[in-house]
Amino acid sequence: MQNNMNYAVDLCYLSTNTRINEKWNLKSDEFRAIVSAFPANSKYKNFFEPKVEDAISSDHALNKQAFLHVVTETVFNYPTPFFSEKTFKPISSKRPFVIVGAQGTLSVLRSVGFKTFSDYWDESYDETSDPEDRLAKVVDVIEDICDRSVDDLRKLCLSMEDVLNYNLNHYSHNLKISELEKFENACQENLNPRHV
Amino acid sequence: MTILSKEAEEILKKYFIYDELIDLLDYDLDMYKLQDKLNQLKKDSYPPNYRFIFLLYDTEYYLDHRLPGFTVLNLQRLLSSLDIPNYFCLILSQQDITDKLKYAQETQSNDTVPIANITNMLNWPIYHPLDDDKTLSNDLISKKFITLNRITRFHRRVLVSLLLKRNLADDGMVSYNNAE
Repeated sequence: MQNNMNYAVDLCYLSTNTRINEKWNLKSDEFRAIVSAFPANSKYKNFFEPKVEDAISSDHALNKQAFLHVVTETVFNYPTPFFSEKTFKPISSKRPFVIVGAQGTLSVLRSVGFKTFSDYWDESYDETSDPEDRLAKVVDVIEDICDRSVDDLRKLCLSMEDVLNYNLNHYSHNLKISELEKFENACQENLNPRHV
Repeated sequence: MTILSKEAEEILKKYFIYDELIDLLDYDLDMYKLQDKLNQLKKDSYPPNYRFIFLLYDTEYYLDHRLPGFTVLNLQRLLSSLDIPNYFCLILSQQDITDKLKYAQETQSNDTVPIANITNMLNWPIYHPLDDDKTLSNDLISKKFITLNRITRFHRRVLVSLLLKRNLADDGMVSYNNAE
């Protein structure tokens, strides 16, 4: 290795140690007022979570206690959908979800074989490009769910059982198989000559 | 550190010759380290199926959604400066970034082809399902929704502030900025 390399090439530098540019502007005065009433360094938690060693089981038990999982993905105002472990928690716990993520996140999930919940609520938020409108639509879905009783939601959950079982099975078994198949085809294709 | 599934690595070995999988997560905050690494790995000539294989499974820093992120731009600049042909480079990522790679090729290099991109969700295990969970347990539902926001991000702050404003938070389990 050359220790005294000449770093002649100009590279883009980040002034902070972050990989995410979170900046997006709220367009409505109403939103701005609501958000400024909840400062960035606010802390909030309205439930008790016992500390245990087995974090995954504890997480799972907590996840089972709620009907709708509002997944707040790592990125939101972002050019492409991004999936972290957060999206797969409700699937693992057999619960329905909405995703506060990039536009098209649900669409990509469906394209890799998962089922989403458009038979049960409006999922047009996923096609909404404006971040503020997208988030407002997600909150509308949450509000609709909150208008129902817990008993109704237990019944609704039961009526979704086929979809929830399907998603868990797809996640645990079929997704990896189909992704590996696609991956192998893509690798094979990559060896073909590429032209301009 | 990104972990690619063992099976995916076996497929890569079946089709390509490569020295190592280069995880861009190890370099994206200081790409000059990557320059050193690539300088070590570059060769005078490459077998047809040799590839520099890069993993890009984490988030990218985008100034403008229509343009490539910083990591892709920097990578293209480094490859050009080191005279490593894009043909022998492959990025594995979760997102389809072919348009970003094309833009980077056109603006940052004289190469005739962009860096290739294979998208997949094989950076497993993302999250383990519990094997013994056969039941729906809908009777355990006591809250209408859950949203956990341990790490602060702007969209999470907007969400929680809207839930509070519309008096919805108490119907669910909500956390924000409670990382220990």
